[in-house]
Amino acid sequence: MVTLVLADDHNLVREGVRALLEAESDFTVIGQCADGTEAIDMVETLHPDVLVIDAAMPGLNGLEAAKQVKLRTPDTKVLVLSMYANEGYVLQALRNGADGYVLKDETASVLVQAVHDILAGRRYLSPPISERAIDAYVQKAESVTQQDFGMLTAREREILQLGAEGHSNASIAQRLSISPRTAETHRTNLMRKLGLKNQTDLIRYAIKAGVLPMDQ
Amino acid sequence: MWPKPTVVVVEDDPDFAGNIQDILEDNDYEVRICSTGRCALEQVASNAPDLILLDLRLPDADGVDVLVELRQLSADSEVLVITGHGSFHSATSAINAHAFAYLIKPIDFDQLLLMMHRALEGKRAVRALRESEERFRSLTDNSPVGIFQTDSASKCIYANQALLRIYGLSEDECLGDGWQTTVYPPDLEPLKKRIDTATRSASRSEGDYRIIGPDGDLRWLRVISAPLFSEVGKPIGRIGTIMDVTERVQTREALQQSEELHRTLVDTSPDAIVLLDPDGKVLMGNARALGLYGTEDPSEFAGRGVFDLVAPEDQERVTGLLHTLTTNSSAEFELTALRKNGTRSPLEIRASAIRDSSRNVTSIIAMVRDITQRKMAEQALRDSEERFRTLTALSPTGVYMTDAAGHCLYVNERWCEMAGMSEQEALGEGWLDALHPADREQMTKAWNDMVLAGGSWEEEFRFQTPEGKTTWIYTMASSILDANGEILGYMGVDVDITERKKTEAVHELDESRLETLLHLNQITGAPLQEIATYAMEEAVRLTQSDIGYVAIVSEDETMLTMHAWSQAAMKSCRIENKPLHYPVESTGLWGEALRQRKPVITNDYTGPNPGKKGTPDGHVEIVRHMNVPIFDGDRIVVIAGVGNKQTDYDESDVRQLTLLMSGMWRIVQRKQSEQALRNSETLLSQAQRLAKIGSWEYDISTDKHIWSEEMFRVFGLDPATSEPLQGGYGRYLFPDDMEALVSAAKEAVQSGDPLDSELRIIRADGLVAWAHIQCRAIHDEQGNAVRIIGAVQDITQRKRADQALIDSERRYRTLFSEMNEGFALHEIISDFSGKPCDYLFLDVNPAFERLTGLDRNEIVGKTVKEVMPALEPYWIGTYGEAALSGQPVRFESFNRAVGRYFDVFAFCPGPGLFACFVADSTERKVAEGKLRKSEEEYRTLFETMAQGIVYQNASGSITFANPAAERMLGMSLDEMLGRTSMDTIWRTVREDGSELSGECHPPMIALRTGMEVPGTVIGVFNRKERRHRWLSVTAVPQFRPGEDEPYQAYSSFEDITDRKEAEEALRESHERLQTLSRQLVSVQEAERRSIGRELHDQIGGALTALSIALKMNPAQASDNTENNVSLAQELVSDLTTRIREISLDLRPPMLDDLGLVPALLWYFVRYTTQTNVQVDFRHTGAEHRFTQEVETAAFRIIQEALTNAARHAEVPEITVRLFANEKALHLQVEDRGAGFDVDSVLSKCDTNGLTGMQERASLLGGTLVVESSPGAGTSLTATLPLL
Repeated sequence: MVTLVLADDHNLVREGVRALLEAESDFTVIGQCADGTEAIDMVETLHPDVLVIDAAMPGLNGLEAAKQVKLRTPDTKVLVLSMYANEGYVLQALRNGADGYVLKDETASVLVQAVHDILAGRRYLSPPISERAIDAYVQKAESVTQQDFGMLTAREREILQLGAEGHSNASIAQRLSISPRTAETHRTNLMRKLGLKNQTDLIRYAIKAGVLPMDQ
Repeated sequence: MWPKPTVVVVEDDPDFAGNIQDILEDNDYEVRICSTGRCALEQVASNAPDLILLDLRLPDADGVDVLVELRQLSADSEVLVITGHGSFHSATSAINAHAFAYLIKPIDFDQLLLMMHRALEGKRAVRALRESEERFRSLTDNSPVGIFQTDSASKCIYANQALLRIYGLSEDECLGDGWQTTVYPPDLEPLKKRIDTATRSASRSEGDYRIIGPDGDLRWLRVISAPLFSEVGKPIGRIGTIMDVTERVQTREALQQSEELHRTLVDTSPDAIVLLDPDGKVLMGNARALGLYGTEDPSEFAGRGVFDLVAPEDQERVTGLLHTLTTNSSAEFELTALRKNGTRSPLEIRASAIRDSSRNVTSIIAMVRDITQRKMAEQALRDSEERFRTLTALSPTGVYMTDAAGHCLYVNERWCEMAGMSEQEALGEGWLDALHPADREQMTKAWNDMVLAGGSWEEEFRFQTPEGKTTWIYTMASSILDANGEILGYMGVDVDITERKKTEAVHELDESRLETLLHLNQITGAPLQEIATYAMEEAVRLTQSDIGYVAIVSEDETMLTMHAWSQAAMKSCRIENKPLHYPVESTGLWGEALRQRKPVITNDYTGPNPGKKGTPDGHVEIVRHMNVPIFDGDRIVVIAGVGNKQTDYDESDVRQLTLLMSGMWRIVQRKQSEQALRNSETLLSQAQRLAKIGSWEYDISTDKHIWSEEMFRVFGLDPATSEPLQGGYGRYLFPDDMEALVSAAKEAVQSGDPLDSELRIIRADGLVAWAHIQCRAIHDEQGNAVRIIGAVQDITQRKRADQALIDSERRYRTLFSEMNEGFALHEIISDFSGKPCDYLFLDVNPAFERLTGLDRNEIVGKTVKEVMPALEPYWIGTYGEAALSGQPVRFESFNRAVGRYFDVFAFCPGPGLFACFVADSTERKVAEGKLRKSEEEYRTLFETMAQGIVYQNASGSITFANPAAERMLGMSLDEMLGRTSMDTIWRTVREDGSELSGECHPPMIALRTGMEVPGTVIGVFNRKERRHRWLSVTAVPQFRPGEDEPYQAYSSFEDITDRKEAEEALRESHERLQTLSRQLVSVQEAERRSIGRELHDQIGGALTALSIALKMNPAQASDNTENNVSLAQELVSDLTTRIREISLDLRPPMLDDLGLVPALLWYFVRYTTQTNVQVDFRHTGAEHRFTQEVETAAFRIIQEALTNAARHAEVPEITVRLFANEKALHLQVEDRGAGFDVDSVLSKCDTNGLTGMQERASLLGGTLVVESSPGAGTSLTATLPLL
């Protein structure tokens, strides 16, 4: 006999899912709740085989609850039900330890299949979600090493270059047809952005960033 | 010890020469013998002897010629002429050739030795004199300080080299009044006046004046002079020193000007400024600060501790604040201060610390503002009223108040005391009863007149109390006006001046008596009788008596001789044949003064009295009597009496009568002795005329004078027309000299010794001349004198030369001893290597002793190492250099022992010598030090003031500005000086931005109107910062005393740019917020519209379809059911998708659920799907969650930027970068597309999302920069702070 706990803030949906699952003879729904916090407590008390949890709930959402449940009651399998096929959600759910991710608009058979799969120790994802897409997404979502230089405005980049070449604010101002005060402001801003303290830092940075070739 | 005197004896008689040689050598002379004139001349030429004994009869030459030649060869050698046969010619020739003596053989050797000794002594005296003169001359001539002497007519008779150098004149040009040509003309008259005053008062004088120096520039000289007195104490001129003090004066003037300027600036500062030392002691306060404290006297304020100035409950706080200032640069606070009069005033204080170079707090400047002026004024008024009440009640003067009609409303206790009536009695017109009956009418009238005229009064009158006590009162009253100038009433004070009146009365009597005595003195010609009568009448008047008399007491004090009766006494006396002489023993009461030898007052004459012996019939009736004895030494000389005064005689009357009569007696006595003196003088002059001395060759038997021609000339007579004066030349001698001469002559006649004397004579032509008179008597065989022969020689020239030397020596000596400045002469002592190692005190003047505290007797002849063992070697080196190099040294030194500063010149008056000229410069040093300190304080104050201050003269030119002003105006003081308000450089604008012409600058208005122009806000272009600064300017005109037109105006201003900018920013921000909220509303509306449209068009349509599909169910055949259900399911699925889309568009849940990066990733996919524009997304450090606000703002900014790019940029790809560190989240959206003109887009702020984006960024305190230009792509960078 497979014991289940259901968590969904919408009563109708919950009852619908329960009806779907209890249609299977060996499935018993031993608890139902309407938010994430309640779900964590209930799982801890009832030790069900599977927690079926809605991703979007008020209070503690399903993704976060899944994480807590997996920490406290690692034996219970967690199946996330979600409206969103968005990779961000899937990834977040998987990272939080969810064993399966099923879209709400799937058919009843998919849901039952998912429970069986995760009980068997396999990860289950709804058919529209592919592992490859998730991998691609992970790559995009990863932080890329980029030059903070890129964060300078075009003007600041010009001023960084001129400043590193040794031009004074007045001289920079003249070249760029701006007031020395503006040049000074730009220089201050860019140094703050780059965490530079003085002219030496500025030159060192310019060389590192390739703005100022070493051999120049 | 003098060296052996040398003598050359010129004598052809070898025996006599040998004799003389022996005798002279025995007497310690070094003797050389010459037998011929030639030999004598050679000897003297090779080595001038001290003395020459010359025999006039020589084998090879005429003795007189030799004498003349010898004198020419060696003027220093004294010649004694010896001759075997005295002839008149040879004697006169010898004397004319300045022979010291003329001796006739046979020689009395004792006489010869005596004459030689005298000659030597004279020589030595002259030499010593010359040396002394030379020393002083060298000292003064070489002194680097100018030294001069003037005669009694203030003509310059001496100027040393230094002074001539200072003036740039030669000695001839300088002497007399010549030096005045160099004096700067405007200074000449005051200088002359000063000299004149000092000369007349014979006092020390010190002052500065200017000359036009040798180079044509103005030099400041300081002259200090003191009077010179002759031996008999008569002023005979002045000596003084002159120093060039130009640099000092210039420095001081510059300092003074600077000090004055800064002081004025600080003093006139509109802020109260107080300078404290770090312990909180008040160093100074400016006029406003004094005003706040409640005094006008800076000394009452300075020196106080700050704790004296604050209320007790605030003192602890002040301690804390002072402590705060040791670490912080400034502090602002409020406290309650205690004013001088004890009242409290709440103040607002801004204090800042002034630090020295080592960051120690040297002083604290507090800018103070009274924040409850009005309240204070009210309080002060209440206090003042209260004080007034107490004051008047307790006042030692009487105080009275009346209404406008002059009716008394109030008198204080003291008034009641003086007037002898109660306040109740005094009210209304009751006070009039307190007036002395004699004054009442006049005073009532005066009071009424005053009240009618509505003015003030000032009177003297008497109160008389019911007990009869009279009090003299000085009263002063004036009207009290209300605010409209209407008279409310009068207020006055009464001062008891009874004592003063009494003193005045005595004083008047004294005056009167002195006048009488003066008059007595003038009627010198009058006989004693008249003088006595006059004195008597005055005595009667002075003592307010009716009758009086003066009686002279006989020498044995037994007889009284009546000298004067007063006229009144004479009139009422009916005694016939009044006796003039009264034996003392028979006198009655009036003789008591003589018998008791003291004044006798009998105020009840009619009462019984043991001394009274009754008056003869017809005698004036006597009610009161008083008489006094007048003493001359121990003797009573006069008895003076008065009688019948209205009131009792008292000590004052005794005093007046005694003084007057003593005075009279002295005048009489003096007149008598003057007469006696005149008589004796006449006798003396007659005696002088009679006692004529015999003529030069006087034959005693024939009583005949024979004069040579020379003789006439000596006495200024013409030999051709004159006869020898009968009686000799005595009348030409000075009277003092004559008696001595007469007795000497008598002795000479008896003893046969020659007479030899030098005397002054007054020639017939009035010239004073010196005469050398020699004579001797010729005796016959019986030893009787038969003739007297002699010579009178005019030695004026020689004497003058001597006198000049004496005068000169005396002058220098006087200079030395009388000068106010110390002079000391030293000799430098060098070691073997020639290095100075010590010095010897040769002489010091009294001023030096005074200044240094050294005693001349204890230091002269000693070395400085003996006198001051602790002296640093430095001094010896310094002085040694001056002595050896001849270069004067000047420096200032501080003498610890006497605690004074000295100005010291060391210079070299001769080889190996140095002299010090020491002037006390303590006062100047102290004054300068004070000035310097004060200047510095004021300058610091002025410079540290936060307010800008600019001074402009009447024509608007800037004359001064403080550093704060320089900062605010962006211009240095030098650049500002001379600029006017009309200068275009200021580019001044009004608060609304419109141009403000120079004429309308607050200081210009103040100068034109003479009125203060309070806080006006103007914008002034700051060139350094290339922008306008906003200043709140207050301009105040300043007036010189007595002038109506301001001579300058100062503007004080605060920089309110920051405040104004903050206001501006606030206003802008407010406006932008308004715009934003408008935008938000319109965005909301647009959203609602689109949601409404979506719901209506999409959801509504789908629901309608669903509804139809479901309705079909029961109505249609069952085979269609499955179709219908699946249609319904499709419709529901479609509906679900649509609703999800709408909700995602509204706000993607992943932004909340997953964070910024997942939301963006989701959004970019959608974006690319919808627009076909690729997004190159890079992010660093932004994966974690930020605050909801930051995430929302970042998401929306990027969303908006992408939307704009899709709409306008026309590019296939856009780069989005996110970069986060712990401080900020930077985001950037760049494309290489069409670009646009940022300014023009920004100006139409509602056409796109740019302003919205900026607003989002700025709401979070971040910035957003858009850089773009048409064709050059667009870069949008936003920085959102995370802290």
